[in-house]
Amino acid sequence: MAEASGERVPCPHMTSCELFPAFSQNGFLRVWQINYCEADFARCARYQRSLRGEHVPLTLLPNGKELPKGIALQDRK
Amino acid sequence: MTFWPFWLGAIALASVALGCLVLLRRPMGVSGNLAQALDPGARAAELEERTLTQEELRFALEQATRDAFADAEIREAMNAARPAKSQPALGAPLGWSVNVLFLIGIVLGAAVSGIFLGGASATIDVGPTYRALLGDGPRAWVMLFAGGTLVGFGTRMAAGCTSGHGLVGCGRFRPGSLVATACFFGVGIVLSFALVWVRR
Amino acid sequence: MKRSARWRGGSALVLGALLGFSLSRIGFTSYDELHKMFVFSDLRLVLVFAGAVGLSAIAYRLLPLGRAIPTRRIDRSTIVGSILFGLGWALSGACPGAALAQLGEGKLFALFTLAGIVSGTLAYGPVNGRLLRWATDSCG
Repeated sequence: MAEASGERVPCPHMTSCELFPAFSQNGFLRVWQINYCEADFARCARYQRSLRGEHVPLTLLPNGKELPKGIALQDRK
Repeated sequence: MTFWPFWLGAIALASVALGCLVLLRRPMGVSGNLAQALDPGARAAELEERTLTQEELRFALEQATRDAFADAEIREAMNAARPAKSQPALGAPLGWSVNVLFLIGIVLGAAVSGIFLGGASATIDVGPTYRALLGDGPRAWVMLFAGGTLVGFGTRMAAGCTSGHGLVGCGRFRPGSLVATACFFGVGIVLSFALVWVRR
Repeated sequence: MKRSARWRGGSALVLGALLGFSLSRIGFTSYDELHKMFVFSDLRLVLVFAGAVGLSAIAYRLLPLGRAIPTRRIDRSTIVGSILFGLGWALSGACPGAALAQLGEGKLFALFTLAGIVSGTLAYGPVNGRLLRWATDSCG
């Protein structure tokens, strides 16, 4: 869509994406923002799933891989 | 049944919208509550009881980042200039059950109004205006269903309704919400006039 | 986590109840009143809405809410969706909140409206995912 013109249209779902805060604050994780959110966001698995109206789990990464679900088992108070 | 004067209604609606922001840390938006309540994925996520802390999430993300990208790419991204515009982030999404409770609350609140103030009882009477413009009985029910479908579909497409776009979005002068509100009010007005005109 | 979740749930119930109560007392649940608003024969509901927006605007200025309220792009989803919503609103007399409030008041015909709203809400996912593929502005 925007590849040819070289202009970067950012992903329209940024404000509601649960992972975006992590991608945009931490320098180490910014690589996701630069490769997906600000580039070809149509490739993002989270974006694709949201288009289908399905719930986008926190653990779904833009490349389609899932973070391990049972990371934390203790309750927070 | 006498309705509230306009200023009381205005105060009430503004207070609820503000209450949502302060207590729930999310902008009010009934169509959003409904979409979440009807989403089996949202319910599943809540049932999983994910209790990731920010640190745990960050750690897991960093692992996954190393797996997904080459070191050089990561370093390059870290050194890249900060984007000029960074979008604001919403508060954490409401859990499935919180969405459902809000919707149930609406029904209960209206029930209190109906019982104690209007003395309302169950009725299938659509009222004189509706009857005159769109009919009664099964014909009206089809119209209500059709109208409801348009409301459900349209509010999801526009990601907001009278509360989300109309009240909150306009209150913040968000251009998107102003346009959305102008559209749905405008169309509502036009269709209402058209219904009257057709009936003449 | 558990305790704060219960607090949020309780707040949601109370806020929802206040909304439902208000919608009913204002008259957003009455097609007669709504129609009067749409054809400008009684401006009370318009003033309610405008007043609420005005008060909210003032409150948002005074309170340190930061930029917690997202901005929506003006795209075809916003415009077409709002048009569809407006059509449905004038046809059924109910925005989503008002439909639920009607049910609470005992207006049983609202069941048809709600059935429609639910159908439309559920249909959007598959239709947009498979046919339209329009951006939804929401990943969560």
